[in-house]
Amino acid sequence: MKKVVRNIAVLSLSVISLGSCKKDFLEVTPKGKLIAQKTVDYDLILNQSSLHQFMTFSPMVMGDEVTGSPNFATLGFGASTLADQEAFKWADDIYLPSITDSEITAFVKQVYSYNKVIKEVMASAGGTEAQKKSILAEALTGRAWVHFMLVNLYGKPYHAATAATDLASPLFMTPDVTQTAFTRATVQQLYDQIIADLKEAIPLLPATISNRARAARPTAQAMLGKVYVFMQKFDEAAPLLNAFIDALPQATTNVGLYDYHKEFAPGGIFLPIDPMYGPSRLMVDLDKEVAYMKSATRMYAAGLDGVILSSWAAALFTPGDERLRFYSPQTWITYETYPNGMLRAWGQSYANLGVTVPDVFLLAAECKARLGQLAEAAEDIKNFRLTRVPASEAPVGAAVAGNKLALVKYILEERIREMAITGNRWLDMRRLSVDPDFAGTVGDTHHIVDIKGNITGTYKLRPERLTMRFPIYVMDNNPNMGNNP
Amino acid sequence: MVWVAVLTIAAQPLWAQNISLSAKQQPLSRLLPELKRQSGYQFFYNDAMLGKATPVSLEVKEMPLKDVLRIIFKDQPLTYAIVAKTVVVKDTVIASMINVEGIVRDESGMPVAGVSIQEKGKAKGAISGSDGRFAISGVGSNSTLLFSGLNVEALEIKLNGHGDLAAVTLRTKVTALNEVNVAVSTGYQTISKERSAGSYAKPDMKVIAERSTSMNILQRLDGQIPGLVINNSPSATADGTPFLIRGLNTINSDKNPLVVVDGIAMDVNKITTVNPQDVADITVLKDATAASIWGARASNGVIVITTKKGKAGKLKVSYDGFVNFQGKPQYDYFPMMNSSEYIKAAKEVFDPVYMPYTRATTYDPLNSVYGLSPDRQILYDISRGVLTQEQGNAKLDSLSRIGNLASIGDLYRPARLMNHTISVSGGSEKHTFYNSFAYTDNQSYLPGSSDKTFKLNTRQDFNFNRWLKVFISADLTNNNTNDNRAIVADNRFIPYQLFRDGSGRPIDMPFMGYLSERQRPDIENAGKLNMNYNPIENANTGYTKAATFNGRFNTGLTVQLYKGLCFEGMYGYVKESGRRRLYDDVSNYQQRYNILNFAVVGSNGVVNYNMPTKGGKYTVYNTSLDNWVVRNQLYYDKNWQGGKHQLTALAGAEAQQQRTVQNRSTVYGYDVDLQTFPLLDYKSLTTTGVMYPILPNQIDKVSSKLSAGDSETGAYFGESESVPLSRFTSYYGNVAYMFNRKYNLNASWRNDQSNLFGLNRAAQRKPVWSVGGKWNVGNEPFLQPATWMEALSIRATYGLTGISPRPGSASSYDIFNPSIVRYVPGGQALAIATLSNPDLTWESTKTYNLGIDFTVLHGRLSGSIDVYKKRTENLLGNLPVNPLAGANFIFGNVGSLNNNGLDVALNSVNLQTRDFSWSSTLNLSYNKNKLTNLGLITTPITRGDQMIGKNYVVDYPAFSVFAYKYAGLDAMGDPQIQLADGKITKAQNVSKPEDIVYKGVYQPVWSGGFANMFTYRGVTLSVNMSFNMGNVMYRPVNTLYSGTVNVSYLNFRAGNIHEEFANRWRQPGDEKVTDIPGFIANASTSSSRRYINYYTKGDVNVVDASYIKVRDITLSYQVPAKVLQLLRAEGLSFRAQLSNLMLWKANRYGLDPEFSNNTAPGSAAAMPFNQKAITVGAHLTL
Repeated sequence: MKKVVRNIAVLSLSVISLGSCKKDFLEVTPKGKLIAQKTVDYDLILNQSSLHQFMTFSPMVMGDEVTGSPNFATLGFGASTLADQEAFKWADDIYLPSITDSEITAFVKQVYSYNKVIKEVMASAGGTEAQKKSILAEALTGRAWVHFMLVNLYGKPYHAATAATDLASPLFMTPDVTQTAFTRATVQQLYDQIIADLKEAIPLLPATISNRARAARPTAQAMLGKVYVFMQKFDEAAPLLNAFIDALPQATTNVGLYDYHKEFAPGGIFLPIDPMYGPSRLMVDLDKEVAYMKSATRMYAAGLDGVILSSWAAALFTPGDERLRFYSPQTWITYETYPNGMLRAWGQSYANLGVTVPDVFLLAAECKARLGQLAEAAEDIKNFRLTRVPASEAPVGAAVAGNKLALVKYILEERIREMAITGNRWLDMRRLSVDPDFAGTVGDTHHIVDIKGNITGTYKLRPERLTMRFPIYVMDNNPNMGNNP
Repeated sequence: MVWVAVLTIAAQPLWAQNISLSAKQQPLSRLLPELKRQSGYQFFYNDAMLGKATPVSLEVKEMPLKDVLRIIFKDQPLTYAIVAKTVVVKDTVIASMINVEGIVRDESGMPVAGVSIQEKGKAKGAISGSDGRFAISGVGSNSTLLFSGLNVEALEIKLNGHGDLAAVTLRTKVTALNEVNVAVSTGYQTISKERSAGSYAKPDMKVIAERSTSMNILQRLDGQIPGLVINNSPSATADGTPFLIRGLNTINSDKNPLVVVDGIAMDVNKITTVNPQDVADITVLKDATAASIWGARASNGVIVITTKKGKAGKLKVSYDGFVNFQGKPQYDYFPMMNSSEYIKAAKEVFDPVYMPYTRATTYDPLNSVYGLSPDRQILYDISRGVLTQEQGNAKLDSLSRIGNLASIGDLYRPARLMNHTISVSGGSEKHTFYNSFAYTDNQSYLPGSSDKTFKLNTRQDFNFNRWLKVFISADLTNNNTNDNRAIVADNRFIPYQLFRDGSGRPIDMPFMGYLSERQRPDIENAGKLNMNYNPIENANTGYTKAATFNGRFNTGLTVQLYKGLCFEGMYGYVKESGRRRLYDDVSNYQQRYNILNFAVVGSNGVVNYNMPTKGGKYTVYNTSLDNWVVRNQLYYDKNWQGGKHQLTALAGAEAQQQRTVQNRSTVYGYDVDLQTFPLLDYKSLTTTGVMYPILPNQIDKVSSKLSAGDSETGAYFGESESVPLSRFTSYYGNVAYMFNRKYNLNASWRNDQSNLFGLNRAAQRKPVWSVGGKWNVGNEPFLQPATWMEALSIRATYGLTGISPRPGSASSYDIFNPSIVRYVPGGQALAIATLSNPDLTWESTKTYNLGIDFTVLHGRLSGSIDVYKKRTENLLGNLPVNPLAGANFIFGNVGSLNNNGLDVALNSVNLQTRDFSWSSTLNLSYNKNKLTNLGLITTPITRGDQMIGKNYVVDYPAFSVFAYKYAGLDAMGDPQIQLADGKITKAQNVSKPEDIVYKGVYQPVWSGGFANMFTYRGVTLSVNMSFNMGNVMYRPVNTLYSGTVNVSYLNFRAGNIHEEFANRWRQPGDEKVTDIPGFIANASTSSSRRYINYYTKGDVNVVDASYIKVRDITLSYQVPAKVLQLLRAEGLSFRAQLSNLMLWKANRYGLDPEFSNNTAPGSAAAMPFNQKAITVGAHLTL
């Protein structure tokens, strides 16, 4: 009997221990990892730095304002790649087949995050409806920016007559990495989507700019204004661009135009000027003129001297222009003087392609000029230049100020003075190439020169290369998508 | 009845193969001793039995023993069986009491002493002697014998003594004894091999115990297990496949087999905590029936290790010790240039136009600009006019006369591995124990380093009464290592640079650091810090000291519940606590550099260092591992109808947890003695950093920052789970049924659930299972007449095993990692770590196995042959996705692959006399695999270049090696390839997949071992060879075709040039005599004009990687019994061993594939070491 009791006791003990694993035994979360569920998680997703900064932006060396320097051959030396050499030559395929990091891969990674937030944030837990909508609107703004870049890299410049048939990049609307088939959308479809996203976002966004990395209503308005400029709809663009400028004083972070005179004076933030590396404008997140950060690494202003400012672009500056301090007349390390007045950029190691304050000021002035408000435009330009050049050099000459075409051309040149070797000129070249009044201002020749000024290489921009081709490895994976010619 | 057992040891000097006998009506009692004398065989019989026999007449000359026996036993009421060298004579008439005799042997045929054999429920019993023999008289013919001992614990054998199968009865008894020899452990249960249809393999434990090159028990298995490939080549290490059982079953999950020690799974990297001397038994589980009990972790096969236990009887003290002399590494192994060749080549490729002096000497580590090697400094000095051509040439000539091989050799000391193990075991019926203490000193070839391990292992087994048994064990390991900052150099370093001058003083080499000699004085002046570098003096400027304590604690109990039903509980806990300290003094070169990274010179010349200039950088890692397992199972073992039906069943549940937490703290300026350090402003050092320091470390070239990440170079504190908290609950069961000792059926089932983060619960409901059958053909009556065949069985199994994704590595949802972004609101962000894959599921492998086991020719030849097919589906891996989808890859189910193969194990006793024996073992495995599918979302391969360097391509085996079809050089010295259409080209990006040649695989196709053991009296010579064959590798070729030749930062295994560089193309016409492309200094010109990989990845450079090595030759001497008696010892042996001798290799370049096969991406050729090592050892038993 005793034995039976003992057996039962042991058996029941073992049965209990077999079944005693509670359900929550398996409900543990590994440290340091997270699935987005709460509204605040989606907010933090928009903080990831890959949404604000990226490495590769070939148009920086594709504008007509640059020239290949005597060191062009060593442009691929070390950390840089051969892709920039090919981009400078406006070659068809600028990336080797083995290169898997290009503009489009950086942008589609960004758009994945935006699409994820757009799809999921409204169903997230813990946030108010207003918070969710604000986050949604920021993601829509980010997606619009990505599509704006893609349409301007891979589609023909916007031309109302052909936009509905010109092919650009695919539209990226769903966060699903298992997608295999991608179809190119038309330029019109992309612009329509960009406008729709921004129009949906603008009323939902915070009214004031509080952080450069995050979207606000004024930045989205500025972005939509720029989109309209690229569609040559200056009347629709103007109020949006002005709204941004008007909203600057309300910003809770330091956003606005630098006064170069002040910043290059003792105590100014562009100081000290290092003999090797130039002025001190190296932190994009502290840059007052960055309103919405989408910043690319600018190697050619941080040491590498393969590509420099061409003679004609250097000649656009007036002698007292403080912006010249962001250029050095000498080669890097070897300190030889460039021929023909060419200049090497230095001291600013990034190029912002999101919303940049001077870009918006100049676009707004251009709209005014194009819409015939010449006096106002000239006044705006003068005020803008006062922050850059001595007061004597600031006014636009009367002959220019009174002539619409001349004034617009002057503003376009001011854009070069303001934003050379950043890629912005390339974007301008594209939109101007379909603008009959200004197509003639677009250069189509790149030279490489040696230290004595001899031209050692000449490259011509063919019209079809105003659109970039998709990189080879993208086409390897999407053979049916069809590349640009 | 009185039974007299006659056990006679034949004592004749000569051994006769055949019998010559002349007899007329002689009784068997006279004939058998004569047969014994002539044959040398043992005979088991008793006189009473022989009394029943009729006398025999015969006349034979030179007739084999078995034929003689057939004649003698014809028409007798007796029968006989031959097992190994023993003839057992049995009565065909069954008495109610019988005699049991036999030999207990282990699986390799060695006798096992001290096994207790007891009639169940009775007092009768015996203990096997030192030769393994035992005899019990007067045992009930229907009774059950209980065998207990080291390998035969709790094995019960029903003596099937009933009448109608009289002849089988004898055999059965003998077979049953064999069964004792091959018990296999699955980690959950120990069962006789006879009763399982699974595919198991066991090594020769004597070889394992004596193999002394490594204290890693798994490494000692090399060549011992058919189907287990051990590959130590750089390719396999980089790929994580040094141990593969039956090919590759997964691509991106853990490829290692599951290792189980005393029933509990162990991280394969921790296996060195098991002292090989404590290991009693190893079983390798290969097919689904063997392994599926391990469920979701068993796809790669399972290696089950059982450690020693005490046994009842005399107190036994053993000592085993060895010293393994490994010598210095082969630092002259690589085919590099000597000094004069090097200087000549360096002159030829020098191009100060492409790389101007200022650029080559300006601090720019991000572009790989470091100091200039002495020869380059001279060349620049000539070109700059600092030296005249004559002066420069004179300097270069003197460099070209210096050879530094001896100087490199002096950096090393001979490596040595030493182990001493003392064990004490023994006990009574109620309590047995095994205790061992071990000391291991692993002295590497780097002076100043040490690695010492102390171990204490104890196991106590208690038999409280007939129904309760409890064991408890603890295996404690304490390991201390110490390393300084000694450099590792070999002949890939610039060949003229000595390390010590003529008077023995260490030589300065500042050029090996970040600064050129042009800049160094200015920077030293500015920073007020010496930036010289002396590799030998620098060795003692820092240390890494680690102390690790590991304890494995197991306890378990067995409760006999009711008639064959018992409860088994098993509770294991592993605790490891490690502390690793890294200290680098400010005198260390890297620390001095680090100071200058943050040092800013003020306008008055005063240096603000921003970093401490005293003390050193001090990092402490604390690692804590906690793993536990709780297992409760019910075990049922029953046989009825006199053993005609045998049933075992097992059902249980298991819960386990694994977690390793590591935390780290790093401080700068630490004073080791005072334990003080200054506080730094980490916030500004990591965010804004320091602007315009003397030596910037950021890409902007004007600032320096501390990394903000969790690393030694960054934040001062970090904690992470290096093994994320993983939990499993599992339910399992299996059943084995055997009918009439001939027909077996096995089935098993298991379900695992885990805390796999973010995985759909539905994906977890994937039980694994297996079924198998075995037919012991040898026990069929129709095979009884075939006396040459002792045993034959056929096995067939089928089942499913699986691999689950690691926690956090894969998910049905997007998984984010927190990150720090300084400028965003709150400073925190979430970045995507793993993109979601809604289609994610478990990886699963279906395994078919067909096997045959046999013993023939009186035990002279035995073996097993297995053929298998494995079909793995839903492979987990990094799935390349469409680049437009928003990621480079995701973790997902990549596709499927299959493995087909063959495992053969053969053991033969080639010669056996009383004094001499020669036995051989061949283990052979063949594996062929193929990737049949890489999923729906795979990267289409449209160009040939994509295939080069890819190891996993659909329709090809895993580990594939692809190459260009090399077509020689063109007239410019540029490499060309031949396309499939016959066209020869040097154009880039033109090849299509069909233009690429498949050359084979870099993992062996054929692998195994061949062992021979010769014994003469007390002397044993064993020769164990292992081979890996059928694979290929890229041979190392010259890679210098453009750019500059220079040293790289603190790297003493680079700088020299491959000797084939001298044979490169130099001028038109050379292409007729050389395949090696020409040199073009300008890297852009070179890469735009030609594609060097056409040569370096050309088919001409793929060579056969097959080799055969003698893994070890061991000569051991067993001290004779007479001497032992004098010493009062039970056993004493000495051994000498020679390890790792290259016997044959297929390539003609002198490459040892174990060190040169660096074909897998990310692997690098290594300097050979531990070759031709010599071991001396002794083993003493008291």
